[in-house]
Amino acid sequence: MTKRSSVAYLFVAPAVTFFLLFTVAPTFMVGYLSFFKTNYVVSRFVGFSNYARLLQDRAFIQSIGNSLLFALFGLPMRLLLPLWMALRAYAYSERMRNMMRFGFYIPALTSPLVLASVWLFIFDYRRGIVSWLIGLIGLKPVVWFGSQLPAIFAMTLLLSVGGIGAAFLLFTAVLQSVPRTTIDAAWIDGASWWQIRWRVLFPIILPWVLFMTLYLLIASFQIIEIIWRMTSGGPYNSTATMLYNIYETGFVRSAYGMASAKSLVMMLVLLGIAVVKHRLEGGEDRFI
Amino acid sequence: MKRILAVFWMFALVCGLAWATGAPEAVETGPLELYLAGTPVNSDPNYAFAAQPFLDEYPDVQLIEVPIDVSDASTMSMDARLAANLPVHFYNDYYSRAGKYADPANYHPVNLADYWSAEDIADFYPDLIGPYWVDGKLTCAPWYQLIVGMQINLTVLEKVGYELPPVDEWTIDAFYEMAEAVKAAAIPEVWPTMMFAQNRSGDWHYMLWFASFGAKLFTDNDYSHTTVSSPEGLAVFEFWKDLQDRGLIPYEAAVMNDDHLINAREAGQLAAAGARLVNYNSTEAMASKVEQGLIDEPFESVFYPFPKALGVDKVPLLSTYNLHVVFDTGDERVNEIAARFAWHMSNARSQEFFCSGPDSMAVPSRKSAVVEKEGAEAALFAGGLALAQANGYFDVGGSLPVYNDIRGALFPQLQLLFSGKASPRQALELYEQALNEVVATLE
Repeated sequence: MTKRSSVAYLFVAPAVTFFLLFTVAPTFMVGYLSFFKTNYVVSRFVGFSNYARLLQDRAFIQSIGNSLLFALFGLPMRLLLPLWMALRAYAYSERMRNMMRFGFYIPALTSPLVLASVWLFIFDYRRGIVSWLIGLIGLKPVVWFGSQLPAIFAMTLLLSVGGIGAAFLLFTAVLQSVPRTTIDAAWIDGASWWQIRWRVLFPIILPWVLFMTLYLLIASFQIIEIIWRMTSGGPYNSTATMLYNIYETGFVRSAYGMASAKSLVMMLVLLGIAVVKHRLEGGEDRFI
Repeated sequence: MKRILAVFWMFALVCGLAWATGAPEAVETGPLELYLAGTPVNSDPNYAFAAQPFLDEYPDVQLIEVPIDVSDASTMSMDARLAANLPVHFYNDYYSRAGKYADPANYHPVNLADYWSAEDIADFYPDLIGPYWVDGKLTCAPWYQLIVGMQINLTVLEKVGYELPPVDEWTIDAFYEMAEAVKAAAIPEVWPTMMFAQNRSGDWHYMLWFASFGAKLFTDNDYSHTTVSSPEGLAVFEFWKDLQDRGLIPYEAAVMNDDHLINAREAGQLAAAGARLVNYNSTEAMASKVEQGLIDEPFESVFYPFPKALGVDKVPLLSTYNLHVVFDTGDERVNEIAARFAWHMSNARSQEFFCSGPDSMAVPSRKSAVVEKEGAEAALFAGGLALAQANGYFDVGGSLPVYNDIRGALFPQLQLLFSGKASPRQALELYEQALNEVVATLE
């Protein structure tokens, strides 16, 4: 080891220490706890019993399906819409694009809990603006958070308010890196704007679309704060994501061993998605 | 030189991080610090009054408040504190939460009988303290009781032209008659009653509907399984669904929580709802509500039992109270001082003070504590006590360490019922299953 490299190691030492203390060590701790029935005051070794029980835990299994529903609802609103907007915006002036980025990103700066509280008013069955609007066209109001699909739809809309800006920012940044000469060449060859968008720009942006899809999929398993504020996972666990189920198991029911086992299962699920993502990308990082 | 500085800087960062993440340990230096959860002795003059004789007795002990967040009705805040190995010597909280920590199998409460005299313990009403004797050890002490029944808003009834029958004639049919009258009057924002299903709190409202129909959650002190699945239990779920179908409660009950009910009740917008016996008609409280803009004019209420169904002789009330738990620290001196503090909090002097306070309608858990009321307050208090003595209390398994889960077990089923995803029978079967799963953890 040269003097130069030892200094480099020292520079990364704080980050590595932080990572080891707050990511690696807790992961091992969670693995250890998953073999216990524990409330942190009294612990009893139960072997693989927590894992065996979670296979029969209907709420936990349902939470996997709920998370996938969040992803399914989220794709059009949090991925396709910003993608379409970014492709449209490519033809606009730089100034216009910047204004759009700024405008769409502002909601992402708001706390999800604040947005959720506002959303509860907007979708309120009795006094909400949505009930009023659908009443104008003669429809009956809907108890938005009283059934699974309307509740997930309403919550995905909320997530989209914050999520569109970030995806739009990413897609416009990628498109900005496309050399102007490529577009000019397509113009000279007689391509229309439509053809340029779908035959030239879209293939360039496709790996990022894939990245965002998998990112959204992973993120949908980890939605928690807006569920906590808006539905508490109900009705009957139908809006509880995996992370919310784990939170409830650990922190509401004090079953920390079981929550640890669930956390490890969730980690494996997300790891599986990450591996698929890596495979789809051809085993190498194409985003560097 | 720069390299040496960089190395030093990195070393300091790593050491700082390692130090910051080390487990905090209570270091005993100077006066003894007693950590009190849910006991605002420094910020609430009432608690300060109760604690003063203790401080006179132990001038060197420093009392430290430990704030506990119970806004979601869970024990998460307390659990997190215990999990982090942060000190808590004394815990005062609603019995549904505190009862969990009085369980010697899972926590370490001291045996209060080691520190309190037998005469002193005999001063508690036996039916209140009895359930907390576990294997010959007194695991906690019940504080004053708050009696729960139905608060009926006489002002609303007067507006709709309904005359409330006497207690003996307060039946489910009478309730329906009253509710339909309120609905027909269509006073903006006013409902006959309310149901909610989104959060785990609110046993003071929904539990007594079981009592109304003669259903029993548990029978003859047998907590090994529930007996709620019965024709009477089914009648309760059918009644709740009927209230929704008839428009006597908000249709969106599945997504409402206890805050909706409390806010509406306190604003005088509910004709009838579960409530603790308090001085409903307190002039000061009403003036404050008017000043805050919560109500336009004062309203008058009475305390009744829940209405009785056909075949039910009398509907019991619910007894709710706080529990005092002292945690075993392993240090005999600290345990003794903490148990002494607990005694000062729950002795006759403290209970008389809390129960005699303005607008308080609390009932002492000690025989030697005497409460005197005057005027209209005295009549309301005496009426509540007389009802409790005549009708008794409904057994909800409140003394079990899993009571917080028992009271939380109903809500998923209510969500299904009120969102039309389950029939009353299906909801009842699921409720029975959920309750049995909870009590199975006691074995």
